[in-house]
Amino acid sequence: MISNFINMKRLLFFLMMGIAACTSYAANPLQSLLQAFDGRYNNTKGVTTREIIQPDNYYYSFEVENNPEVVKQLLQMFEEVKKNSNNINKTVTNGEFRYVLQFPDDTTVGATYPANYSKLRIFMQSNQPFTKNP
Amino acid sequence: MKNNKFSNEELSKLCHLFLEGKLTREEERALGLILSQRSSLPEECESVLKIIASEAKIYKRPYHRKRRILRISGMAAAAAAVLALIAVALPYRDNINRADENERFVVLQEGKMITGEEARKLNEESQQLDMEMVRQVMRQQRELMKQNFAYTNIEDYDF
Repeated sequence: MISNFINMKRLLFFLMMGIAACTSYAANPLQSLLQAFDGRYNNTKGVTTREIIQPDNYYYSFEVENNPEVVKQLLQMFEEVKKNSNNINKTVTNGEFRYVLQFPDDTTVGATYPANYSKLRIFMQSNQPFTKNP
Repeated sequence: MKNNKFSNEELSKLCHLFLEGKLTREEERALGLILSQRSSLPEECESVLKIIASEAKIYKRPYHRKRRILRISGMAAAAAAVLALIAVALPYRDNINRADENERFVVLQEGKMITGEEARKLNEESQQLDMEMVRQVMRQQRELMKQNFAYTNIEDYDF
């Protein structure tokens, strides 16, 4: 009886682990950047956020000027997103870094910043809604 | 087969029939029940009772195991279904874009909120700017790939 109970518990444990693994595998690749839109930068100096919600057009953007600390934080978030993309396009034009990341669900993420990190533009665009907590 | 109706001779006959394999499964089970309830048994019936009892154990085990596996599978399937439902429902719960809003344009400039037509104009300009950047980067990437391709072909060419 006890061994049956232990076996049952073990089976359920492995089942939960499997489901947890699948869930984490399917996590939103934009997760780290979406955190930036939770309102934490709403009143921050030098930060402008933009949001467009239209049928088939979901656009979020960040523009930071004269705030190197926020630029650094956002670039760290962008780096996390970059790790999840296998379609990374990078160019350097007139000393300005330009990144375009593309994802299989037609989401595009872009970042533009000069070599001295004095300003930053980051945007996300998709034809379907972004989710905060996938 | 009623317990008290059988004499020892009749039971003995039935046990012989059992040993010869002439009883049906139902009859065997009934015989086992009768024998187990009797205080004294003919000699051959004691061995029959042992056989029936041991067979019952053998049959009981896989039957119970099967039921247990079915029960666990059922529970696991139910747990999986609940988790799958949660996994499907969660993204919708925290959607940044609420379903009741068809269109929304918001600009937040250092805490100052701009909405309506002004926000629409500003945001559309911003998106156009970003999309132009995407086009430029992709064009440059294509050019780069073309150059790399041409360069690789020249290198591969056997002069």
